[in-house]
Amino acid sequence: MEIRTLFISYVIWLFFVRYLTITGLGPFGSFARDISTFMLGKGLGPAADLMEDRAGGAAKTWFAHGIFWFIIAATLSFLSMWTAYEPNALHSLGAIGYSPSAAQATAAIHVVTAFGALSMMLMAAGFAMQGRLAGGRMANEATTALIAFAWSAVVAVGLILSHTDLIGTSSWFELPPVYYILLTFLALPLFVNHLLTMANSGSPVMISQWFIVMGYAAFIWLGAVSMFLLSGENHTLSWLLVKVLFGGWLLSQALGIAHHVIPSALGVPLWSRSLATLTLFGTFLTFSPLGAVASVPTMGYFMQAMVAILLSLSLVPLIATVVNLTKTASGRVMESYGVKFTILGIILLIPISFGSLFASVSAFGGGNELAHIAPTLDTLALWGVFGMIALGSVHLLFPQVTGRELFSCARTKMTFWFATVGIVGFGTSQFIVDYVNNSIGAADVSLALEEAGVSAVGAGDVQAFAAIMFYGVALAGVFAAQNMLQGSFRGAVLSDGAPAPNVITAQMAISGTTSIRNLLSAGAGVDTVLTVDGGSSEGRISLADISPAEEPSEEADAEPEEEEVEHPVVEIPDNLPKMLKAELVELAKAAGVSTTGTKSDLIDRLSA
Amino acid sequence: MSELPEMTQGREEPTASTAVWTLSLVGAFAFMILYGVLYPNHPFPGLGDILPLFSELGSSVVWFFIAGIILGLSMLLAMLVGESIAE
Repeated sequence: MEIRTLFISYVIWLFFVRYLTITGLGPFGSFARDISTFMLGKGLGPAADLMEDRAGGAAKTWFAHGIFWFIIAATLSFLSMWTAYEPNALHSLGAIGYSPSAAQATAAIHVVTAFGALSMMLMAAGFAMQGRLAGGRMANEATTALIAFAWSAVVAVGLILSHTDLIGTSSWFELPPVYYILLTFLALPLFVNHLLTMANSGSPVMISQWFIVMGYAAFIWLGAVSMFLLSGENHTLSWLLVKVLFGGWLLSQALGIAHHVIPSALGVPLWSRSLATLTLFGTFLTFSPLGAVASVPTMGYFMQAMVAILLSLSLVPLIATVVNLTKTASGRVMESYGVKFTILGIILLIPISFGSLFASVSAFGGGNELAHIAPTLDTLALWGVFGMIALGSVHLLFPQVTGRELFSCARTKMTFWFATVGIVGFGTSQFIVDYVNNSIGAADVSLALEEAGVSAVGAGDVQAFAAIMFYGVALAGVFAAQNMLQGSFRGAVLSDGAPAPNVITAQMAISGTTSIRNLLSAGAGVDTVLTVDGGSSEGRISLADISPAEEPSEEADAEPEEEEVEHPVVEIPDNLPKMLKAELVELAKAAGVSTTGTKSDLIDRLSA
Repeated sequence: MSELPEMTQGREEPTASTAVWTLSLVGAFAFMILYGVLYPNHPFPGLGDILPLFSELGSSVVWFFIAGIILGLSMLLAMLVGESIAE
């Protein structure tokens, strides 16, 4: 099948999803909503009761699985880099049957990194964000959490399959095409859940929600179209699949998260609405330069020119993103680690995209002169851009879904510095290795060296350095996981999930109807000036001036005063630590203090 | 006659205690190294069986990195179990 036909089908599908989203499941109306709600809930039978249908439960489960795969994926990547330096380093594992070929090791890294670690973490962030923007929770939390286990199982199966002879030659899609259909089947209910959540909330769809929903649409298209690989080797199709995987799926999810995390953490609206819209359309209607390793050996001149233009145009949304988000966070990046991670990922997007653009243009029917740096560019895009934004979401959105802060600020700092130094160190040293090896490996250089009787040592030691640097990313994953785990049990309780609004003159344009929660989630504060356009009335209002819709009557005012409950004076015993938790909860109830938290929290509260 | 307090175990965690257990660990490792220096032909009981394992695995430095990740994952598992039980 021609690339033109496939790309047109992709664009039509995306516009159909956009139409569905705008019209709130449009032509299917309430019937579609009811049947989807049933299928996501009671339709699963007893399985639906396996997980608790609690707000934030889905995102928490997906984050937990995602960070686990993050560590595994980073470790496998590190081992691959190390074996490039010392090929026999892991040979002793052959005794227990583990001796993958280079192609098998690469396939394992691809499936675990792209479909396990980064997909799961970005999806988790998407659930957290969607729940927050659409009334506090997803339409269905329990089934979504349950699917995280199924997704993890599929990734684990992919990891095993990639060590067999079943792998093919299609880059990034090495496993049998049926495998990707499985992932699509799992993504389908999650996509419906997002649509339902937005349809139920009735609030205007924000730019970050668009990125998430359209990204799911791209992912579903990806799985279905990968079935064409069954008909045999097809370089053009493989190329398009990689571009949609990187641009339509991973990049769109990452940008959706970034467009939410920065305004939400800093309490400021996005700097430019038009740049955000440009980013949204540009991301889906151009070919992403990321995924530089994909290549097409021969292609007609016209298609080559068209693809080169669409690849170049993809820089427009990327530059728009970087400018919009850096201006939004201007001067306040240091206030939040969530923002630091995200901004770093966004800034890295520019050099990586430029490098990938050169590599991608030359790889599509050209000479593929930059093939030697393409794998490094892809690794940097995955870990430097998507990985950083995923870690940023962990530091902002994970505490919101657990209701507790991350456990240790020191560990957060370690995560940031290990990841940053790891990515930058790996990138610079690996490029040196790539260029040196490529130069030494060139036919004329090899001949000249041979004639001179000189043997080149290559860049082996620098390769080891690159691997050690990347090890920092694996350690960052471990620190983040520890911080998340301990934080979810013993972190300080969040007093208020709303963003801290400390901007005096921020402005925000809204249209249609919205809620205070949505405004707060989007970064509005009490001093934010809201410009209302559309609707029956126009004008400028401030949240501080908003009064309740109906003034309560005097009787209603008086009633609560009469019924005001006075908490009885409770004598707090001295042996609180010896008491059982249930007794402490009873005591807390009697004393009129919060009954949530661990035993230690209750003791602190009662002793205060 | 003095009365024993009801709780003999306090909840305070002085900063110096961290230094104490760090020094203890360093001392223990120093003893193990010293043992190997003083009795080069007598491997340290128990530990002597573990250290050659690394050389048998291929004498590559990569195993120390892998050990770090395994240690990190083990700590995660221990935390998960510990926190669940504590709850």
